[in-house]
Amino acid sequence: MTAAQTRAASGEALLRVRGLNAFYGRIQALFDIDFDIAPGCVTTLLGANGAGKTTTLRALCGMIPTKGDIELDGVNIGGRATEDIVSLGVAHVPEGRGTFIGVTVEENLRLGAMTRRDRREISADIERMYQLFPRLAERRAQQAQTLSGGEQQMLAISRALMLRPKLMLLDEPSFGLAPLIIEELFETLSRLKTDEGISMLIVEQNAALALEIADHAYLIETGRVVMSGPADEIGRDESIRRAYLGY
Amino acid sequence: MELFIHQVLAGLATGGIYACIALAIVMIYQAIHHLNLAQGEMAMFSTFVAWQLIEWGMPYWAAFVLTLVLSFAAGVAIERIVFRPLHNAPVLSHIVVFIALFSIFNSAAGFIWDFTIKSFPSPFGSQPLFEGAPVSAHDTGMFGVTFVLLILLFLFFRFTRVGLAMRAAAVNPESARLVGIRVGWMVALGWGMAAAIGAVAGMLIAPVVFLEPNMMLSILLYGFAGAVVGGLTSPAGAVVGGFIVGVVENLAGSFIPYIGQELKLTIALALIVAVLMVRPSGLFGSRLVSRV
Amino acid sequence: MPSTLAARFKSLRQIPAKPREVPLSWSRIALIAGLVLAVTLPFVVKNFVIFQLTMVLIYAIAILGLNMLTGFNGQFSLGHSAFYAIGAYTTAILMEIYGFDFYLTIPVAALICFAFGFLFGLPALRLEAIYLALATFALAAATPQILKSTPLSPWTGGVQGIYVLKPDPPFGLPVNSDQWLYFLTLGIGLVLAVIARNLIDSRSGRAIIAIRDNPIAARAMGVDIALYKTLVFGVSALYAGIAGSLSAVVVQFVAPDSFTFVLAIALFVGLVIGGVGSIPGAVIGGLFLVFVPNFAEEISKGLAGAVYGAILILVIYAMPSGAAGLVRMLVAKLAGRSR
Repeated sequence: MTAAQTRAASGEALLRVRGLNAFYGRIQALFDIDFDIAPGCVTTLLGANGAGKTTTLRALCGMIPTKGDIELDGVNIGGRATEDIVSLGVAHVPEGRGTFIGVTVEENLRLGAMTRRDRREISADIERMYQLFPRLAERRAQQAQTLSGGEQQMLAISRALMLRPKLMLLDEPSFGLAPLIIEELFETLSRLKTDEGISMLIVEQNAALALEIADHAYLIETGRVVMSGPADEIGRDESIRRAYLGY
Repeated sequence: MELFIHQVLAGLATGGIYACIALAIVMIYQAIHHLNLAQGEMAMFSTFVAWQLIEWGMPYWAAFVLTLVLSFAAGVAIERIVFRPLHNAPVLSHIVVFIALFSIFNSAAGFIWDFTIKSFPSPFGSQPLFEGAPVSAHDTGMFGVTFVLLILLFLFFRFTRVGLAMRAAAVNPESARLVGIRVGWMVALGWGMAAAIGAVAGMLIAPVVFLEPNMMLSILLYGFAGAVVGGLTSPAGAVVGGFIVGVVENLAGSFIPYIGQELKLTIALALIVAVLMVRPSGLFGSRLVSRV
Repeated sequence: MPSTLAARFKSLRQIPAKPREVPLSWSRIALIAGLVLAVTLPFVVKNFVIFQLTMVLIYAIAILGLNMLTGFNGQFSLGHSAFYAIGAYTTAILMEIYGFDFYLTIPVAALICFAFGFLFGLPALRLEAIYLALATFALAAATPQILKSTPLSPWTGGVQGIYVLKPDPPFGLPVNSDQWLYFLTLGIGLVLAVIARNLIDSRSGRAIIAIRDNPIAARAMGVDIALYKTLVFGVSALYAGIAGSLSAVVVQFVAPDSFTFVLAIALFVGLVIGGVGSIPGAVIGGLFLVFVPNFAEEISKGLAGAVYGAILILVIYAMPSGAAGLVRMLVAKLAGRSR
């Protein structure tokens, strides 16, 4: 890659990650990771259990100590506090959905808009979420922990959308859900991409599912990026499929 | 029967004291998931500050409000200065720091204001509520203030943005950070509120038990009892629990022959353990399920 | 349990079961040096200091018991003063009312405390961390009241308490009675420490620690959680009771107000300062309990409590995992450098 190409790429990228290292205590979990996310695109991180996918998402949000450059829209967010990164427009749908127990569905949505000040717009967005996920509308006054797994995942995604994020990070959205629910969920995600142009970074165990919706894919192994390319190419490559994706 | 009713009313009057302090305990438990052993001493210290302000000639309600503001600020400061550096330390170390604070406030109050008993004014007056009533005007006022406080807290947590953020930070700090809530400040705010509520409790209790550095020792224990009986997750439960403890203590004292009076405390404490046996999260507490 | 609570209590679980990071040869040298010091000290210091050192060892024994419960089994107690009191009163009553020989009262106190601990462990089974802390704290608060109460006062002497006579050194040993009690306590303490170490290292010890670290997995492996938890409570109370029994003759006096919740909290502080999950740490905890309050009083009489509190906070800042944690960290650093 020439210098000019790099600059062009960085000019386009919504998120530009260079030389990202992350640590759990004294143990290094990520090694010099580089990747880009183009605006309006869905990018996916694939890899086996423990490869460092979740760690990458946590690193992007400043939830663990990192070294390296993370630029969001040209602003370096590496080393910043999670709360600051969130208020710059990064919404994270964490592993296990991060449901707030003892808090109603509607309050969960309001929490998603915690960094926003535009009251009227917030209420309008809540209604929009109810249109997107009608099942949440039925349960708006219910405590969030009483929802089913699929509903909690929908709630987590709509809570993230309430931020009006520039970039949405999703950690294993299909985890623990029934196949029908997964299908419904990914349909919604792809609608969000095409209709609203929301940029996403999705971490998935279920590679086939992720590659279907993604534009670009990165393969991670033991904390390093081992391969990257357009999602359809990665998905077509027989040897990658067999070696890394296991289907 | 008349004696019984009389004792129940008198129990409710003391129960009001416990309810007040139990409410402060639950408040801080909501914010930090710890029982602050120094809570009573902090309340005692706040009450001394109010007493000093009144001594200097400030009108009661002005001193009351100023004390609340000072206590709130002190609560926030304690969290930011003392506890923030420790947020990764083991839970047992936190308890030791509570013990240290207990010792510091108790000793400092004794040093500044000495250990002689002082009387503290009541804004409601100490006369009986009506001719021959077992409860005084002050008891009734205390009940009223506790009730108003409870409603204000309910409204705050239910309908305000900051209240919602505090709840979120308490139940799931990691997730709260991910929606942009400054969890550290929410905890500090919880400390400030608990300190202020404790100050209210102290100022309401002081006219009944008199002001001195050790005034809170047993009251705090009854407050804990009330909070636990009611359930640590429920502010209203804590208030009810406080009243229950007050009534049981009083009834045990007058109706259990021989040992009742001497072992009031023991009986009240046995009650807590008994309640916990049957309902491990208190009468009104919600059972939170832990995941493996 | 909300995630914060779970996360915070997890920090308790991260205490290593056996601090093996300290090289064996070093810890053996430290142990021998400590023993030599412990044996020679009573011949060079004044009787009052011997008394203080004996109290250090007595507290260390009680802290050791608390450590078995909290450090290795993960159960909280802010109420060990109650068992300490039962031990002390057992000895005092047996000696002064029933004319027992002091040495016979120690095993009796130990057994009675074991029984009480075991019984208290039964309801404790139903209580989760913070509620157990409160229930035990309540026990500590109720103890002096119960001791003072009229039905018990024929034996306990009520508020007045009981004076206890110090036993003379046996077999015509060339030591005075303070020195004798010191060596007796040291000997008992060492035996109890060895028993504790062997218990923790045994199969049962692994079960006890497994219950702390992952009760569900422990149950799945067939560990009888209820039995182990109550037994550990009993053993822990037994240690506290022996400490109390020794204290009765060393202090020569038992009274209800010597066994308030302040003592329970002091033992807890000693546990944390010494190091949760560390057997030698108990001695550090004992030293802290005896000497730091005196030191604070020397700095300022009027503000002794405040100075003590400030020292406590500073110590926690310096070593959030106690003295044992600090040693472990230093050893790890030194080892890292030499590598």
